[in-house]
Amino acid sequence: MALDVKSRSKRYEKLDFLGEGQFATVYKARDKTTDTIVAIKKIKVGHRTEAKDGINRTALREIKLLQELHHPNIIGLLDAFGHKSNISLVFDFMETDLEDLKPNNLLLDGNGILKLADFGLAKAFGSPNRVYTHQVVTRWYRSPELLFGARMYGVGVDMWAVGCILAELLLRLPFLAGDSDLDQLTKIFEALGTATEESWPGVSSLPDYVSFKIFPGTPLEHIFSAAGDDLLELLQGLFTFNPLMRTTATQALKMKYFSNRPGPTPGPQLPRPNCSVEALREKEPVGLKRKIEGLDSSLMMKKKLIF
Amino acid sequence: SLWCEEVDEEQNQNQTALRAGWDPSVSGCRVIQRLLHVEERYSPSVLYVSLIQQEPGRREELTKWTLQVCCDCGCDEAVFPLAVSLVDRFLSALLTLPVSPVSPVCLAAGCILIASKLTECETVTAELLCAAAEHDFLPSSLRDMERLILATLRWDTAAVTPQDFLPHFLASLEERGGTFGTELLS
Repeated sequence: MALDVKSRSKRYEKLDFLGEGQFATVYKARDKTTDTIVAIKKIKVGHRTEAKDGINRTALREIKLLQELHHPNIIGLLDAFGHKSNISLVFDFMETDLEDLKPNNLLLDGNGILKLADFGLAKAFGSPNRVYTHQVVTRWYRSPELLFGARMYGVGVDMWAVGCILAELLLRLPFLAGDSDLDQLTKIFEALGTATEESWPGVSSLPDYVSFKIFPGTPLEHIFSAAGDDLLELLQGLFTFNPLMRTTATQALKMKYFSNRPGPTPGPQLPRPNCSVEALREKEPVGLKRKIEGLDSSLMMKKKLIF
Repeated sequence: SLWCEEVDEEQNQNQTALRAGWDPSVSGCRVIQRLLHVEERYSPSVLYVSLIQQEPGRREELTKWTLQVCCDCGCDEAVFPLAVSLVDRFLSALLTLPVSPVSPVCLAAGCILIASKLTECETVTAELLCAAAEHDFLPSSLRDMERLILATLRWDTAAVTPQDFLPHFLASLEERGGTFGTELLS
């Protein structure tokens, strides 16, 4: 088995450097056994102090969750191998810039299928009684309850993050880009209005609660002037302060936005990176007309907007 | 960096670990069925079980040592059963694979190390485990062992243990028996 490690790493031929994130370096490689292109994510060893306790635990957890999850919208873990304290994870190769291990970790494959990646901080849902840590979710996508130090949180934190990602797709800029936790809360309240005991019962008893200046907030239709009513309704639900009242995934999917016409563009017809705008125009199908009216479509493609 | 690094050390020290709340949407029959299904994937081979039964003392001794170390290191209750499951699966795999014999204590320590990383916020250190084994092995051997275990188990470490079932059983007791379940939980 120990020799297994050597043979496993020999199985992959490094082709290209794809990029570097905070915790990992990603390479494009060829699997010699199956003659397919894969992405290898090499987890950084980190401090020597970390390495003295062996394998990086974040990687261990990510592997554990990815092995349990088999879903068309979740990146497939093909293999894992370790050498010394290094761990390499082998994934399906994604056509979109994997280099950018960006916080939202949303990737598209060659068929335009969305894949979620990076489960380093994921938590198995349905394992009750487990101890929670507050070191979760990249700040810009953190929900107000996490920022106020709530240690008991639920799926609501993910739905808030979904709202932030949706907003980012509309604005093509991070919606709430705070540079500290306090600044993050300020940005949230400036945009959406300050949370009060009225809008969110119990907020003032959260561990890190601080009272904020009362901002009136800006109506969402003014922030997202290109969004239709159905999309605004969805955003409103996702940006609900009270986590118990926030729209759940099930509720969201039943909202009009997801059934109203036009339907989403089929995956294979989505614009792809390194594909000229002209080429796309030629084969532009009816469905490519986006739900979001008013966005200049050629500008959108130049920016490689991924939906 | 986008990561929230403002760690409030004092608060962390004073705060006892907070546990996830009970979520009724992930309990009940469906979850138990699923756990049972997943559990099968992690059972050691029948051959291993029959071998162990011929001489149960050695496994028992190792298990007791594991429990002792888990208690001494103040591990979360989920660590011990997961560590034992890893020990069993590793030994079970060895029956069919020609690998040189390993120090049982180092193996158990390696399994505790992995189980702790998977389940705890504050994980047990390699140094602490070496001390618990009275420096029977070096930290570097423990790290080697960890990799050997992971490679042998093909990194598939997230076994289902009896602890995973308990909250669900207790919840259904509570539903049926009123306060009975609550008493058991406390």
